[in-house]
Amino acid sequence: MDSKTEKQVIQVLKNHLVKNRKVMVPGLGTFEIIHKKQQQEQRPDGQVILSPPKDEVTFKESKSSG
Amino acid sequence: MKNDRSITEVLAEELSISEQEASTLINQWSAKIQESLDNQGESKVEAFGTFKKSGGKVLFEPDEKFALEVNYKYAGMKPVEILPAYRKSGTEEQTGAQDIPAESDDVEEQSRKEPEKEQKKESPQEKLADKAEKSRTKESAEPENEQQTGEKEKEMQKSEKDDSSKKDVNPFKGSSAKEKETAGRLTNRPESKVRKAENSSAYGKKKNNTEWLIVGGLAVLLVAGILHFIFFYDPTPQIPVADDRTSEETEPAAVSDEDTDDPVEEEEMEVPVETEVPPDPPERWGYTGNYVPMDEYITIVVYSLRNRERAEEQYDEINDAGLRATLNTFQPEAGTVNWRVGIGQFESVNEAEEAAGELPEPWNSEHFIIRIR
Repeated sequence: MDSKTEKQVIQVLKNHLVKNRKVMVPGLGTFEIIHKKQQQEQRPDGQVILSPPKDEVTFKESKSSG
Repeated sequence: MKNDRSITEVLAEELSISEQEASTLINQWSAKIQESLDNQGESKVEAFGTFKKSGGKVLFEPDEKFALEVNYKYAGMKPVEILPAYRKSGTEEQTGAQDIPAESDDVEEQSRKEPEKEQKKESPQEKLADKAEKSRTKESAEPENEQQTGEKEKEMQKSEKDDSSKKDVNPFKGSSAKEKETAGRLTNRPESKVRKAENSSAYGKKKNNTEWLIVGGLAVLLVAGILHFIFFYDPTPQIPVADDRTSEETEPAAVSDEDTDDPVEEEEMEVPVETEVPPDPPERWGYTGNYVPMDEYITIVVYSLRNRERAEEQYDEINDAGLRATLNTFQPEAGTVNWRVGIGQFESVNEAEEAAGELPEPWNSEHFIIRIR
């Protein structure tokens, strides 16, 4: 696979993941975007903060791979 | 909208190839990553992320730019401080900081000040107690002669502290043998030393009591001044009744010259005091009513959109629902603008969270709270 094709594959994968929020790649695993709500935290110095919400990418390896 | 199509179908459509060819590309790409993982333990994919093998599992860390793209709605958001950090000095005792307080900063400051005051209180007493202990330990270790010399020094120090006129600090100086014996007996008794230590501590206590009396007196004066200001100070302008008084004073004066207080009382009864009740100001905080322009407030964001028109539509929808809508912009990075549509204006995060629980769906479950400045 040449680098140009590889970049195209990656771009399609990223766009599909952002749009669909979950993508299963055969032979590799499942990528998913998980939303974390804002939550209250207390730091060691006693400061109490409300951490902002965020969307982050998680990966779960498929059983057949590795 | 979610799409149930597989990556193979999407890839075939995007690259205008068959599904079989798309499947081959995907497999080749996966195999390349697996090979790199097996050989090097990690595989970096440019503009996507890094795969790493750790403890028999494969972990994935997205590329920084890709992570920002995924999190574009909340990019640049910083944590909102609810309670500040503890102070570093003299803060062993602290109130429960896990609960979201409404107005507990003053309470915390007072609690922090109290241990410092207690330390100050104890310090002179501690010093005296330490000295008493030291005197006891010295007694047990040293022989009698050394005790006497040690006692000499202590007695000299104590006599300097006392306000007595005795200048003969050293009891053994120029004293007779009898006096020496009695002094030795007294000094050798541990009880006398305890009494001396107690007397010195009592002296310290008396000193502290007077200080507290002074502080208490000042506090009483301050409270009295405040109460006087509250109850007796009247800032409202008096009603101009000067003209009426002059006209009415002439009449009773004609009747009798003696009574001067009565006309004043009559005037007060007759002249109606009109107090205008000011209209209620619009509610500043809450999620109903109209938007109130202010420099800083907390709001519940329910939409974060890049399309301005769509954001304005949502804004109008919230207003039509009888809620207080807010609209703010945010630039996560150069060239992009996020339009954040929110509900309500609140003074504290706690109030916003309570209000968010009362909102109808879907806003009830899909929202986040930010501070607008």
